[in-house]
Amino acid sequence: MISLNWYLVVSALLFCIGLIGVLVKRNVIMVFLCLELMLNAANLSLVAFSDYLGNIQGQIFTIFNITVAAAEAVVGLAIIISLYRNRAMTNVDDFNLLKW
Amino acid sequence: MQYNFVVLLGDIKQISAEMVIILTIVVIMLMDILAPRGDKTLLAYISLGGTLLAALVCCTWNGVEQSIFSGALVVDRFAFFFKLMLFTITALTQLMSINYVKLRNINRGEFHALVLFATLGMLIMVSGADLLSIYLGLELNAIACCVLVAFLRQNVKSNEAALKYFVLSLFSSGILLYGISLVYGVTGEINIYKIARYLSGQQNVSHPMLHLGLVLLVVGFGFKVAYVPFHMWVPDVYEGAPISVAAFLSLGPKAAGFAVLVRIVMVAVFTLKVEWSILFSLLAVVTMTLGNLTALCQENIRRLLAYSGIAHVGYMLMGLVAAANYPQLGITSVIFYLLCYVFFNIGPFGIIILLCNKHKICEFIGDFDGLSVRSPLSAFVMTIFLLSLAGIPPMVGFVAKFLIFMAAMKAELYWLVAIGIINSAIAMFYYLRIVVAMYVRAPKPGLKINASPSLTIALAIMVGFTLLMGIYPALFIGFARYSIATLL
Amino acid sequence: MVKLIFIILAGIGVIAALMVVSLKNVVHSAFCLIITLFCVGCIFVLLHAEFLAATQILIYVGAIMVLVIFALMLIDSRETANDRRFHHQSQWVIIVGVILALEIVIFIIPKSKFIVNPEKMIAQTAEAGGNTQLLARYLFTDYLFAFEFASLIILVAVVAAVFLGKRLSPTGKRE
Repeated sequence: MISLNWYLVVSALLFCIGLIGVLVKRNVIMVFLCLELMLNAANLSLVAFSDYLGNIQGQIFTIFNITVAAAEAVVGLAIIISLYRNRAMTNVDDFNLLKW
Repeated sequence: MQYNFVVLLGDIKQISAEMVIILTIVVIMLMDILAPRGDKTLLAYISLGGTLLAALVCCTWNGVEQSIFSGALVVDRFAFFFKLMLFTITALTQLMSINYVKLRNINRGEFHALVLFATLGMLIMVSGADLLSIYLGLELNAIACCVLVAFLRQNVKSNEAALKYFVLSLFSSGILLYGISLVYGVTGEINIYKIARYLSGQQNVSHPMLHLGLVLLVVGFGFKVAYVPFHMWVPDVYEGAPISVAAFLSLGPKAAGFAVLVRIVMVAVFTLKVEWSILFSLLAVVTMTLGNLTALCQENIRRLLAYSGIAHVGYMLMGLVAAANYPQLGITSVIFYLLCYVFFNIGPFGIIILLCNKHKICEFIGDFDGLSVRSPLSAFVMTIFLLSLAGIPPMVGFVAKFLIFMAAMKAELYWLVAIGIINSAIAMFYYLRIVVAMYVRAPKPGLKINASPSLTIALAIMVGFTLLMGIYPALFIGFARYSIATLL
Repeated sequence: MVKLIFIILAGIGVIAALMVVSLKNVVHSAFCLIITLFCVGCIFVLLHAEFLAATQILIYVGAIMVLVIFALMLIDSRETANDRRFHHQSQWVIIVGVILALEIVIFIIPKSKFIVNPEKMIAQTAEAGGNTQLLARYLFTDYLFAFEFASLIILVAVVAAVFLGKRLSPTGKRE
């Protein structure tokens, strides 16, 4: 039997990798991929908790996460393509998330 | 667990206002398809009518508080208060949009449908009793708002703003979800009331995972409410989005976000009040200081309003900090602030729309030079809004700020009050700068007022309420107090 | 045995995730992400969530990642082979991120205690007749509202995609 902590460690690692990626990457699609990584980390820990707590809510939540992620992906890519049509750029030079 | 058809119908009856909105959306989209070439102004009126009808239906609520859909939503006074507020915001946005969308050539059925979609998402957020419904409402709102921001399709600024909004919204939901998963892991529940019951039954709630989850939750909701560290989208989006959408975003998601935040911190994790009050006091200081200092050096009024909006969120967070010790007083001050903020913050956006025409948008402070000569009335109205924003005594902004500071004083947060007062003084400067431009400087050629009946009505409503709330705040404070009585 | 499978899956998943962040080419990153998503899907099977494992692979790998790769093909990908991949302040972000990861892994997770009852899920699943049945039972009763509401999210996404995807004619009028 694997302890719950192992799953949580994997989830935390994925989350932090995604977090770093979002903040350091400059290409919009790359940022989007890292965001998917973060969402997956959350899904993993939800499912792990769900199994170990013997409580189905985590899995239910994950189904909705996946649905919402698909909807978000559609909208996000549509915006990226619309931006690309107006101006051929996907690199986020001016698009700096850390700028305030 | 057993689900009964009669129960289901009863639950649906409780969300009839939301159903009205959904039906309006369906009607708008069908009419849009059936008459693809026609004028879409009719659709704007239908969407406005739908909002007003939904508000009316909402008002027929009989006052019985209950949770519906197996605890997914809750019908209570708190949700009722916020629903009315959201309907007001939506109706004002729609009134301001009717003429503006024609001007910018974006008068399309989708626009009117998406505004209602965004409203629907917020309605579910404010009445959500379980983290899943709240999250779904939040996402519906985020997607709809994202497209609304991108609505000026040929405009690169609008596209970039939408992209930034989208990326940050997804980023914040990633953080939020991870936070939710940790809270779920510790408590085994995703229902706010059950989390509260679990935590109040625990002897020792200082659980490191729960603390991390709480921090992530608060940070994740920061995107909607627009406080540090998720405030970066605000100026770009206000600048790039269609103006009426910016007005909508400056209030709708903020109000809904605050409703969720209040429900979570005051109900679900109230036992952790020491931890979250420290977190909120730090966020409040950073948010208001940063907002005010950056607003000082803005030339673009839309960016200025964005930073001033961030600063106002900082003041509201102060009220939330005070609520840790004095729940009644703190939360009343916060939601009263939000209520009057609806009227005097959408107002300036209305004035910007009033001054824009097909070719030019007057959005720089310089464009407002000598407005009092060109149009004394609009300059006067703008002055009322700005004085309210600045919180100068006869105006309602002062009453709202005073309530917040009083709550913070009572909670013995003297340092926070001191920082708040210094910030208000700084804020005075940049608001008065616009007033000076309007009244002292010589008028510029080419400044023209482009008034339409719907915009005039919207402005009249906003000025009317700003003045009414300034003269007789007790009525509205009473309403705010009534609405939270059963929450705490 | 299960432990070994888990370690292999987790190892591949995390390494592929690291490669997503560190690779230069977006297409390569996208393929690495598919590996990570697949590994997470397999871990779901270990966690008795077979339905979710299938959903994860069908929707994430089959729909979302295909969409991303389509978008990449629509966009000129020459720019993606760009040397200046990171922001200037990136080293600070990486340091802070690594500290956060270490803190969660070393301090927060080992110190947290959870009410663990793994047999309960197995019993529930057996009682319902399988993971899918168990999920369906809750999804269409207690979480019916969320289920119906999700359809609105998909509807708004469709409206958004149609609106944003429509091409503009040269005059600026929509076709």
